[in-house]
Amino acid sequence: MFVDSETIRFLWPELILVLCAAWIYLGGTFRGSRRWWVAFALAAYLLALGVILGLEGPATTSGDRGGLASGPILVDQLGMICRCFAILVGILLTLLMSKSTRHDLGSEYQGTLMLLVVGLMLVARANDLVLLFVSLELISVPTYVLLFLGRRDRGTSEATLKYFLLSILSSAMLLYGMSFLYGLTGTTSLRGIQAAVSTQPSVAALSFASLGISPDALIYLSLVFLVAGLGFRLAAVPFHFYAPDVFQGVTHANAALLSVVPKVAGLLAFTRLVILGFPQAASQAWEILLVLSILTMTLGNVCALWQQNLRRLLAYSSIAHAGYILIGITVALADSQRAGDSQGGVAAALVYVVVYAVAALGSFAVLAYLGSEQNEVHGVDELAGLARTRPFAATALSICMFSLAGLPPLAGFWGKLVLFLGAVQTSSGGLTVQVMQWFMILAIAGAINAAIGAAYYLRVIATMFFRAPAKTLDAEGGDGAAVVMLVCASLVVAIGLFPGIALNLARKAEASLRAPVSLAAQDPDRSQPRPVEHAWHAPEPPRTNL
Amino acid sequence: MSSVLLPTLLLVIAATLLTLGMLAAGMLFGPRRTSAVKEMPYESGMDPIHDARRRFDVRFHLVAIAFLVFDVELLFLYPWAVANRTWLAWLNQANHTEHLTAMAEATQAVHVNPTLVFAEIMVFIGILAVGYAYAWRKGIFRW
Amino acid sequence: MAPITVAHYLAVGAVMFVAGVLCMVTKRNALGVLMGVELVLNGANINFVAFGSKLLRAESLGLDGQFIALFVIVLAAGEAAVALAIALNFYNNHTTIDVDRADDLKG
Repeated sequence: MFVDSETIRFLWPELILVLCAAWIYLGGTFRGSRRWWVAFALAAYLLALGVILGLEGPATTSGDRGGLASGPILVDQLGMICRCFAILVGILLTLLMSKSTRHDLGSEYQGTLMLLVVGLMLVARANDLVLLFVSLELISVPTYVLLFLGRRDRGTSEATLKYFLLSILSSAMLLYGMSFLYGLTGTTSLRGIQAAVSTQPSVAALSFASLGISPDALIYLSLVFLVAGLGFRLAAVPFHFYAPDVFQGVTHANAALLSVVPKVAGLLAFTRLVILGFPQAASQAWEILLVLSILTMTLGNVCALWQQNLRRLLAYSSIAHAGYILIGITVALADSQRAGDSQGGVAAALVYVVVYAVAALGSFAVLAYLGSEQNEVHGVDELAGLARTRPFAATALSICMFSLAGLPPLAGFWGKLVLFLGAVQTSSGGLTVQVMQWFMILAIAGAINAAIGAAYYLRVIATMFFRAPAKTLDAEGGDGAAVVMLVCASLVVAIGLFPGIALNLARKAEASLRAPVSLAAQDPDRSQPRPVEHAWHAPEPPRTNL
Repeated sequence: MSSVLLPTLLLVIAATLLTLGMLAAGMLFGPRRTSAVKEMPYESGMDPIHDARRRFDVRFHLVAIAFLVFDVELLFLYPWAVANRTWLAWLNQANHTEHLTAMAEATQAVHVNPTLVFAEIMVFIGILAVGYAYAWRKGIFRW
Repeated sequence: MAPITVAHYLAVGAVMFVAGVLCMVTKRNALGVLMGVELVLNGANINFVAFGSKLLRAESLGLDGQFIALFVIVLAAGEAAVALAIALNFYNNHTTIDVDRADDLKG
């Protein structure tokens, strides 16, 4: 890992956001207006987006090169697309949280949220274990603070404590798994790890063998710990226990954040770390994840069936969708075992996580909009007759929930379609008969689960449309929440009508993931790759005796 | 073996002498005025005899958190300072021209920009200063 | 006596990791659980430093492993700060920091 001025050049959008966040913290102590800081934060996000698209877009999107590795970051299509998506999520969450916070904590809320978005942007382009871990923590720590700031009552404090303790345990497991990866390869660069583990037997493996430790055992140990650490972020079984309790305890805006940001970050980390880092253990990896995937979707969907609390229902739905995302990861891992065409597992998972994120954000935005600071919407029954009392909100919620259920022609349908098609293709062009059977089971389990899932989404929609209104909801969630629900519902419809655009972007991102990487070099006369690590130690300084 | 442990032994001797010297100097030169309050065991200005599970003022907690964070952040300065000192030492060795040229080549090879290295740590300290200013403005240090 | 190898350090790291997890599972006091967190993170840190050391690779400078350890120490401190605030908030609402009392949220 070596940072030079070129690396800084690629980090301008993140730096802008960090500086703006620092200014929001500091300025908030002078000027308390919540509205002003929301506007400032939105302007900062737009500026960062403009810098990404304006300055870096032409550099990375031209041609289908793999991208540049500069210091600890990797400048490629996947990172580019995910950063833009991170900023979109940041804008939507800013609007959603614009009214749900205490008035005197408005600036803290926005500053913390901005740091979290920076964390997500850095995860998208991390090419180094250190940066990957630190940026995952840059997501986790602000999440704890946001959960804590949202409300100060009994339920929230309990939810925050639960989330904190389990999240930090998962981070520690991730770190422990990373340590074995580092030990086996001797480098922290992700691309370096990828290169080192595919040359068998590596120098480190030999030295481990001389110690009486089997390098294979270390690879599996590392794999298990990484899957555990990242599985928590995706809310996959058996690391899902926190989700229903925590979602129930926090505000709608925070629940939206929890259902979207850790999932995107977890998927990105899976993509960069597990899919590329374990070519030897890929067969074991996909077996583990295939089982986890089936368990996760089944448990999430079945438990969601009898939930009466809306946030608990959406929490189980979030677990179920983690299961669908794992289908894509499983397909990608099985792919990495053989040469030839990719079945698009990563692309499908990326499309799915985006589609899910938009629909989930939209659903929580509707719920936040319908409540007020004193009376939040909790139960499914409170939505009875919403189609008559608040037709606009009811329509938006129906669109988002239809998409979550996967009904055509909305976005969720295409997301599920590409995932299941990937599994079916892997089963038809599989390696052995057993692999074919397993992926057939996976595809069938996915289809059955889509049907179970539709049941509880339709129950909510039926409550809104076919039951008599019990009471009129306040609908004092603010203009921000209304804008978010409008934007999300339109995005769901737009992606549903034009799925090709999203799919093409995701395919480009997946292609860049496997493409070779060139080292960043601005001037053409330095054409030969320079040694990245420790090169400046070549001339040993004169040793002084201490 | 003895030559390896000699610096440690010297450090132990120096530390012992310094401590004893300070105690002795205090006894020899310090003024001695006793009062009831001064005779109490030192307990950070609190009443030393009470229930051990007594509660502390919550403001201690805020100061402790602020201290914890700023204290540990300084950890990043040590490797920077050591690395930077090595660079400066090289620069100062004007007679060791071969080291200078070697270092210049190394600098070219990896594009180390000393200004950048300095600027990075200054940005880091600047962000710490923002945190400090935030804590100050929020009234953590006001009792 | 057998020479000290990386395996010995890994054993220490594993013991610390397991001790930390056990501490997190069995302690009822939230601050006790936090101590478990520190043990777990530092168990991983020992691994990183051991893997970077010259015991495993003679040519290694070990800087990468030590860098990660440094970052993790700072992160652990930052997380401890947030954790204390969370524990205080929990205390304000429950008048205890016994984590077993966090059982309001059920479905």
